[in-house]
Amino acid sequence: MKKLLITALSTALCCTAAFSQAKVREVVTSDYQRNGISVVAVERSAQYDSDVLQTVSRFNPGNKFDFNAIPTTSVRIPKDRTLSVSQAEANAAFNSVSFGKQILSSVFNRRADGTMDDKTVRYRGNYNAKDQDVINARASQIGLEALGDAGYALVNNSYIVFIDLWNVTSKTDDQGKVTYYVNGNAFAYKTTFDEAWLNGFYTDCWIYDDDDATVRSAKIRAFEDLDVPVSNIASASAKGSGNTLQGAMLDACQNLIINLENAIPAWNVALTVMATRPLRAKCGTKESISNGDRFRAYSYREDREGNLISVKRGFLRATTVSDNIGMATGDTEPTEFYQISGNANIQEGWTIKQSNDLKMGVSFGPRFGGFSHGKNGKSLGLGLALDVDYLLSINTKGFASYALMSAGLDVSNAGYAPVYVGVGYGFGLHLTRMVELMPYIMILDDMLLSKSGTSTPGANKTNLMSASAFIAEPGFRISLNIAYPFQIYAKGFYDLMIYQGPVYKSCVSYGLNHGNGLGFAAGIKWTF
Amino acid sequence: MKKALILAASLLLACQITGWSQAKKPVIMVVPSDSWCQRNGFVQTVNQSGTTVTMSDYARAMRENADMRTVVSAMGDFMAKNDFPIQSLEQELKRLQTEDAELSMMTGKKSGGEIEETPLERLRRSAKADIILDMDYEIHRIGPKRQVSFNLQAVDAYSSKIISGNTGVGSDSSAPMTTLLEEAVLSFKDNFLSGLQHHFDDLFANGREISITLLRYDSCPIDFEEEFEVNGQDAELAEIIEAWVADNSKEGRFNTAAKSANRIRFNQVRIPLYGKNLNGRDVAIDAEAFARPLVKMLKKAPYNLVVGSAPKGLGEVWITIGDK
Amino acid sequence: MKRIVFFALASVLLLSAAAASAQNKDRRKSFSSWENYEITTEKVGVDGTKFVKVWGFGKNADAAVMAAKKNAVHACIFRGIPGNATAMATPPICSNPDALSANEDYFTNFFAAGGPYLSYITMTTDGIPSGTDKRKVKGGYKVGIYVQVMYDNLKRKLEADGIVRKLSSGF
Repeated sequence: MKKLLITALSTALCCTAAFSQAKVREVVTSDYQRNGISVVAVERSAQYDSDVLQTVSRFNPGNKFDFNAIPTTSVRIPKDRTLSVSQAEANAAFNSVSFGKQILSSVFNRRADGTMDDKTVRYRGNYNAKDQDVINARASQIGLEALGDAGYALVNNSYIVFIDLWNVTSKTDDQGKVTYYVNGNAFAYKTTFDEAWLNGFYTDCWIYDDDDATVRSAKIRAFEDLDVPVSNIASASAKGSGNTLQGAMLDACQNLIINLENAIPAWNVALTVMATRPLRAKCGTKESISNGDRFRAYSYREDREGNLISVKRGFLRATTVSDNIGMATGDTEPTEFYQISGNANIQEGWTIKQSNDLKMGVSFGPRFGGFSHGKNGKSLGLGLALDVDYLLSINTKGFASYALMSAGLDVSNAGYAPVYVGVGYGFGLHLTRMVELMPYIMILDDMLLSKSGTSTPGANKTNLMSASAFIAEPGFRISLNIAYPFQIYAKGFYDLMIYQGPVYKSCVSYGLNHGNGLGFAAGIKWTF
Repeated sequence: MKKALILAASLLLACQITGWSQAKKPVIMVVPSDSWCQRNGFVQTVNQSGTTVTMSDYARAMRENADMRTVVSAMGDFMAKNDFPIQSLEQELKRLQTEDAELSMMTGKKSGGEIEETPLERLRRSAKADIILDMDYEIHRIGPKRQVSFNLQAVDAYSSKIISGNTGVGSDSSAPMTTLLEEAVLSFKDNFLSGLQHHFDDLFANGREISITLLRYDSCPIDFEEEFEVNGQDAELAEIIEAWVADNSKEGRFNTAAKSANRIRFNQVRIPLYGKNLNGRDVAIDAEAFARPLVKMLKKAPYNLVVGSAPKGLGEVWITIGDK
Repeated sequence: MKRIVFFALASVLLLSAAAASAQNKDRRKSFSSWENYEITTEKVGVDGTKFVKVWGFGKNADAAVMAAKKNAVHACIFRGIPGNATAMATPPICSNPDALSANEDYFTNFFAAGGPYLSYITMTTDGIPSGTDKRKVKGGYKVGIYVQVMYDNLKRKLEADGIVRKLSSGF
């Protein structure tokens, strides 16, 4: 058994290590450009239509997107809201509306008389410009006008996202608190024309001041007949929950955008490290970056044939996020980062690309001692623990705050079916990026399930409380990166009984080996 | 050895520079191309020998088109930085205007009325521009953007040969027109200057290139096949003229393009850049000045011909025998 | 018989090692060679300048940046700069292909470390070369930088030093 475990573990480790060093076939670059987005709600001709419409119309996908206001804000797919909408149904609804034309009308401010202008496009070109673009523009004869010109290339980065929210459920707890749950599907479509197509559009549809009535009407007709290439490029599913229906729907929308971000590489912010100690890169709130966002670093090399290869390096998290909303001036304040993995230090000039995660670490392992004691209370009891830590924030020095959740069972006293759950707070300190020390405090609710009644809700409550104990657990955890996101951890703690229910107390008197005590645990951890 | 070589090379260069420093700078003038004038409506119709012809109206173009003035001044700027101030077309046109009446009286005097110059040829001759920069550009509208395509030809006014051609397009942008035109000028600037340098090197090495055409009027008692005795040998007049061109052209380089009893034409005649004037000073010579000794020779015995000489620009001269 | 096989094998091994070493040598040489660099026109530069992206190779990134700067000036003097869709090509200042060998001492001094060539170049890369512009290659780094070359000033300097003729020379 041991051999098998060791073999399995070492194979997993080798695989992970090999995978982390593998070369990326597709070259990851740092040429991130802003994208335009229009969010469209899916109506079902069923319950919650107005809630969905309201939520989606109020939903802000984030500062990183330019918002393309189009007249069609919803499409109708008649279907029961307990069922999910399929890709084919979404495509059919998409094809029934000329979204491509609506996008062009929006970005070129097309008016009723068919005339258009490039104010929005030029503004976006300027807004999208990075410091290097500003410096380049200053070096060229065209000058800063070139920044606005860059906006024309952004027109093709337009996305239409269908948001379908379905299967709305709710649960009411004992105190009457209602929690809503919503499932969501997102279908993303993108304009797929090139510069030549856009030039053809200008030739056929762009009305000049000196065009006569005949030419104008011909161009208006050409616009009406225009077939703008748009295609489906990604889809995503997510769930949302909240105390209100709209809150749950909004949560689902936000999660859908996060999941689409993972599916659409062009949405991932990519840029280069401008300095180290601390790690800095020119991005910030304009790109919807927030504290704790994860990025992956890449360096470049050439193979023997001179082909460019991007090499995956470590991960890093955004710490102090710069407020860079506004036009670049060539001197933008950078956001700071902390490197959380990788053997080599991330260097100046390397590319970093957004690589969203749940900021959640899940660890599993045996637990010895603590409130659980062995026979006669003289030895350490054995338990199994599943811990979850959620990163609340991290700073440039590597100090991190975690919300902790824990659940486990005490194997040594299995006869009582003792199960515990807990919540807490941890403060992570990094000695190096490979080692994290975390003092923490948790409150555990140790429940003896075998002693809790199940007859009525009221009785159940009383019984569960009386068969429970609340335990304060101050402790210290040390985690070691093996091959990120795989870690091993060990922790030491002291469990202090702060409250024991009457049933629990009597069980302790009659043989349940639970009480105050030192304990330790160890296991493996995976970051999602 | 290396040092000696460098010394020799520098000495040679110094000598060359000293030698060349006596030479006069070629005059350069920017002229809008005919196609540009046509596209922008700067044309005029004139009656020339009974035929109505459409010609470019440079004066109006320079007066009314701000874009062309931008291009000319941008080019003037970089040429001045290279010690080659550009002859102002505008000023030259004004000067021509005042001289127009006089010029027309002079042309009226000539009975060989069929040899007429176009306004450009007249301009070239009057301005004595050695190199004409034939400037053409077009502004393309691409929706909200504009793009300039340009074509600049540097033409040797003597031979009408293109010495530097520059075509290309600028950025497609919604930047102001002036910026786009300035960008176009800067884009071709160095390539153009390099072409010019190449041309000058060729001039210094091989001389200017001109053409000479000789015509016989019916009133002339002899034709080009008439034989005369020269240096004890009998030779046709055409051969005698050919020998003169061979003797006087630089290193005897020329080409006899046509030779008949009534017409002889020499092209690719390489002539020295400079000749002596009546006071023995170095002056730049054009086709007419080069052919002047030939005209004098034909007027004298044994030929005793009535000879007329009419320049067509700087690089071509028509010599008529039998009438002026 | 065995001996023959042994010798044959040994010579094959030796030969292939020698070939590999020669190949490596060639490769190293091609990297360090003065002529082996890429340069492209970015846009039409402001009056009197050339705005280019140029690559350089060096043992470390700093050395590669220095090499790239040198390459940019070298291209303006001897090689010329290729054009792009919206900018015409730039001819070399020295059209004579023998200019380098004829003025070897001058150019050795001109391109010396910290030499006069640095006065004619401004790096416009934001910070240090980054992203795909900084590549690890065998034996060092290859970097691409954006630079402005003061082409007109460089030309005047070479004219004043008698390396090239002025356009108005001889008139």
